[in-house]
Amino acid sequence: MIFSSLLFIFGFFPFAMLIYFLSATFCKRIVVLNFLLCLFSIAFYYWGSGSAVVIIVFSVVFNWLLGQRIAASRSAATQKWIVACGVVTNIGIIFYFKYMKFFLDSFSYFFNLPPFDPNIAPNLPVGISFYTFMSISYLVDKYRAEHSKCSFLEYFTYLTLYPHLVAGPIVRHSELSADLKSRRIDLDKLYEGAIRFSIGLGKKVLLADTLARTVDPIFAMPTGELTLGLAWLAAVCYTFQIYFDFSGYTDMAIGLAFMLGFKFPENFNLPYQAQSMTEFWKRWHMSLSRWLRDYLYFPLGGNRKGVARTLLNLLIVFTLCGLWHGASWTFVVWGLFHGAVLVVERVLDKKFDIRPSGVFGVLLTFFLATLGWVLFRSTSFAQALSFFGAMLTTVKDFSLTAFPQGRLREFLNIELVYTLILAAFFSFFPERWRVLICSNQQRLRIFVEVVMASVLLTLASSSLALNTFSPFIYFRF
Amino acid sequence: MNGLLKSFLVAFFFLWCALGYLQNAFHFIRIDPVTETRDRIAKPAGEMITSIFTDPLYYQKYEYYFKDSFPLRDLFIRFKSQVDYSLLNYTKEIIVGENGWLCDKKLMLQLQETDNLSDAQLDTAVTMLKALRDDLAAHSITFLVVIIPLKPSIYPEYFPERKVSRRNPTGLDRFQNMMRSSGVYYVDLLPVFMANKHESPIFFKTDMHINNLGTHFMAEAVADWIARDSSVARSQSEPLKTQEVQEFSGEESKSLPILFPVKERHAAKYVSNSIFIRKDEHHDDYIISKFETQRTDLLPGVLMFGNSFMLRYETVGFYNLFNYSSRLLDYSSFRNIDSVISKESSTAKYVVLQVYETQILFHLTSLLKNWYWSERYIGVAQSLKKE
Repeated sequence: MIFSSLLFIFGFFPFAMLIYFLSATFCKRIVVLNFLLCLFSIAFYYWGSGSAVVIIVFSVVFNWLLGQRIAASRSAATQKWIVACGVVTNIGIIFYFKYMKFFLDSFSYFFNLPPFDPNIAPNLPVGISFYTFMSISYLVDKYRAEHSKCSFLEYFTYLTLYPHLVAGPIVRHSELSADLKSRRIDLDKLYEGAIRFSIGLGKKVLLADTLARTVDPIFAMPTGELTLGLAWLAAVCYTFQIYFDFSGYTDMAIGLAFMLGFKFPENFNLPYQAQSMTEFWKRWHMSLSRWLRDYLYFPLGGNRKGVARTLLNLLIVFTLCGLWHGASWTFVVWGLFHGAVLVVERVLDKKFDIRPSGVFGVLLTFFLATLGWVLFRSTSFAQALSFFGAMLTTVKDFSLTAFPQGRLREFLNIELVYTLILAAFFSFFPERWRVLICSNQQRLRIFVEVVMASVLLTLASSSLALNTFSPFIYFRF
Repeated sequence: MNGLLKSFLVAFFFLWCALGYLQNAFHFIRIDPVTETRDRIAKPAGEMITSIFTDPLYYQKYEYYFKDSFPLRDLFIRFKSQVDYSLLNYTKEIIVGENGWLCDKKLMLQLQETDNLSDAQLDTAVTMLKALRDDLAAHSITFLVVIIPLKPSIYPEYFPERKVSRRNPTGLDRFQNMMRSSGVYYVDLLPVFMANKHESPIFFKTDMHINNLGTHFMAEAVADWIARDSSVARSQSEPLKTQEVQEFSGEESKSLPILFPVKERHAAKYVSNSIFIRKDEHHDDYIISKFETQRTDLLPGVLMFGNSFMLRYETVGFYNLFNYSSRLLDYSSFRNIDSVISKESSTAKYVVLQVYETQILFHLTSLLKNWYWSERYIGVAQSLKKE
């Protein structure tokens, strides 16, 4: 089940919230509320994932027990061993479910062996990348003594909380520990939650899904039919699609958490306004960036071991970041690409005191991100290369009118044009203007928010229904 | 004030999310269901509480069912379509042209695909027509092809260039040229329609078909062709009596689907002094009036056939039609042309094949079965003595 489905919005969510509110109003015991949340979260996860629920339950029990052992142990060496055991086990689980097939396929390809039976690869459990990283962070933080004691029920609630279960953000235990012990649901939280959820739903359904209707057919085209216009249209649309899709989903998660009494960390901060790729990664999927920084980059030495080692660390971190996004070489190279750009930026900055800034920096960052997203979206290197070829070399073919170049016009419908304008507006609208408006006109801000959220909720849920519609036109021969 | 605004949003938000449950309980909103190509998905068998543990795909089936049976689905679909249509002049399925003209997007794509057919592909179709022509010629029957251009071809001015791009020459132009060079007779309706399109629309604005006026012009062109070919004079036509249609909603309008359907006031001029063959909208239930042939030495003033299934009968009869459905079966394949001929009277002189422009594409690309165009659109003018 995903948040942007009719079943969730009009089935699961109102039912779960009603029970939760009634319990919060009449019972008020945090244990009961946590227990209810666990119940709903498991039901939410089981719906669609089935038996994979066993893996997450195992993960909860295993990591909580290790956490208890770490807390109980007085020897640093023992604690280290327990953490190492936990990290290896968690990585082993994710490796088995997510990467085994990838590595076996790569192995057989590089050593020219017959391909492995695809049936040996298990189905990928939903959200495993997220809750595995959360589990690792819990163990490491426990080792670092960065958070207080928590009961099994609190930990179960933390790891399985349905707002972050499927697509993050990657929340650390310390960020939720206070809310797990005591939380209050008031009008402000409900309001913030409703606003964030509506905005997220609007981003996902009205912007991202609309853009996907252009992106998907172009990426499905035979590569020979790609033209400059089509390739750029698909690339730019996908650049906006992935942002509004992911940040929309995160907004919904944050909104749901608010309504349940939790506060999740932000995950996006207008990433396409970044003036460099280094800044981009401080604004894009921030919870992952923080995780990689704290649990990978710093342990590798960060920037404390000289320039060469720093650059190498960056490459390692981003290569693994690519691999985290998907078990495919295109993701690995995507990560490597970002790592390489960051290395170049760092060298230019440190050695030559050159750093992109202003509009040029924003445009350059957007361009580089777009190139990266083509790699990210492509199903193979051949497809990615065809896209790059069409985007960068076939200028002479550009035409709006001739066939097959005229196909560009098929995609440029008014809905897409408006969607692109809105996507660009919400991506590049200067943050300082928004802050200025919000700080000076509190009532106006709330009024605009209320109207916007109501409209978005109405339009987005109607749009979800419209997507299920198969019109009847008998004349279609 | 701020608290009031916040309370309003919170109340609205939760009420909105609970709408499905409330509608299920109280049925407080009534809305016309949207028309679709498929039946709505039925609720999966079994109780949810047990089935989710026994059937691994139960959740998927239930989600499909929920999407289709969600109580406010029809309202939401109509609402969003109305917003798109009213604000953006845009809908997912239909091209919204100017001045109330609509065109099915898939139809437009088919037209573009037709334009893109290669000469070799078009030649395949012409070869089949030649075979049919030769079969009929062996029985002294003249074969005539009539291809009806679709409204984006006749009224491109209502469909802006950015929405409707066509190749020049079109697939139809090239196909007719190939028929001409292959000796397959055809009636070129393009100049006929272009010459008559302005006085009153000859296509429905909200439907893909030619209206009765269009059918009339087509039939006139066919009758003229037969008259010329047979050297038989045409009878004197009485002036076409017309009747305005006040509020017509065609298939394209119904497919939008919006809260307030697009209606056209002067969509068609129904010919009140003609006889409609079509009595029922359902294709298999045509009851055909019988027309007694009084004289066989003159061509009828107007004959109409094919997709609009209309015959305007004047002073002379030329055809005694039976139940059209049984005739459809006769024409279900080119292969059983012998059966067709044996069922026609020995006086049959002309077989007219009428198809719409995009049929060229369908026939060739086998999107539909090969028999499709013959099954639906063949019309026969017979009982005409060829001197």
